Amino acid sequence: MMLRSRYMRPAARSCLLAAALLLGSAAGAVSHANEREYDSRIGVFIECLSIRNDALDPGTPVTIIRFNSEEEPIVSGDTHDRRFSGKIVAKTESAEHCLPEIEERKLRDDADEFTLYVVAPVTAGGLDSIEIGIGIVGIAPNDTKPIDLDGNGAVDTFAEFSSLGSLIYDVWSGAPFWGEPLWTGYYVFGHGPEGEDADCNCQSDEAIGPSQPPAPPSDSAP
Amino acid sequence: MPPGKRRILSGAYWVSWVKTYAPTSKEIKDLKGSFQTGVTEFKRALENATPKGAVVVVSHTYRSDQAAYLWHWAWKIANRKIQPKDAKPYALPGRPVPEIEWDHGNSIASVRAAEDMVKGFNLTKDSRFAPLTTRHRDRLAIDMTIKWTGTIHVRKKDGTWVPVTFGPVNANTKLHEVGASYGVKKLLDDAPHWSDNAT
Repeated sequence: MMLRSRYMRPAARSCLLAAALLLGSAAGAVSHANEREYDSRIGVFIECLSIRNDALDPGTPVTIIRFNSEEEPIVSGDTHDRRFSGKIVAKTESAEHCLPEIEERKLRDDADEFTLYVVAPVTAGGLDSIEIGIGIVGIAPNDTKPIDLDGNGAVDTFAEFSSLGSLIYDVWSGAPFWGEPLWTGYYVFGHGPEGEDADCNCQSDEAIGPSQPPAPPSDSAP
Repeated sequence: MPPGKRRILSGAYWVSWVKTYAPTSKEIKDLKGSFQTGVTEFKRALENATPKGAVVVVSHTYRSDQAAYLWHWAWKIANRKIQPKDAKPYALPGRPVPEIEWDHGNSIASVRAAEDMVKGFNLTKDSRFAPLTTRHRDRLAIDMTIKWTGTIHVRKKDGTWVPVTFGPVNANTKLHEVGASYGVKKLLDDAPHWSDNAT
């Protein structure tokens, strides 16, 4: 059973986090291998599914864990009211079908690694409530068992974190924030100007070195 | 640093630390007072535009003090803007205090650890904006992307309808006009950023 970490007592959370740090370093090599495996099964869904897999056939089932604006950012894999079923229709590059993701691709250096798919709901209107979510390929629509992607017996946890310029999505094998996640994905927004002016002018700033004193921090910005 | 307390070296640990102890938010309900109301109404107006509503994806509303601090210095160290030893200790009001040691004793290890944090937080190149002072800390700013195709008509606060054509958001004065009617003002050089005072 998943427990939201922020509700834990501080002492318990400290122990958990310390343990997570140790476990994370021990399990690192394994989880990196898993990460690649799960990349072909898990993606980010906003109107379309964006995933590192260009070989999904029409009809392939997709389960979506919803992360709308006003919902809890941590979801246990046994939470049914945040879980929706769809199926792959076809690949797409159409802004009409998935405008947010088409726009996002302009911001990502790794956009070429992702394929976009139109996803249809299993029942009419069944995906209409989803603003954004994690899409998992290969779980049958009638499969209502708790999600346990790595089969370790612990119900997986799905988490969202709002970062600077992106949303971060994690899938954890069991409780969140222990070791490394099975999978991490992003939806990138990008800060700063748009178009040609958007390039970072990083080279004009000071570099590390004793002859170049640090400039004052830019402490007043968005 | 009080005697007896040990700092924890910078690195990926702090990504989990923020997620656990000082999470940020993309929830509109975490915004403050009338700004929250204005954002809610503006978003609703966009989604109810005609002939087809815009897609509004909110990415960020509230930023914890701890996240602001850790993003700021991790980004600066990872991008070689400062020496690790020159990163300042946490002095923002939020609790708990991140007792972090940025200086690993050599520049390579320190920069790599900061890079791990930048990667874990997925701070993009434009995160040069990672500031300590931000309206997000005051719950008076929102980052969101607004997408639609063609021209839509959006209702302003006063009930009038404005035609808004899709294009670069920073230059879309019609969109800014609608947002401002709800008290949600566009910062002109930062694509997803809106706030109560355009900063």
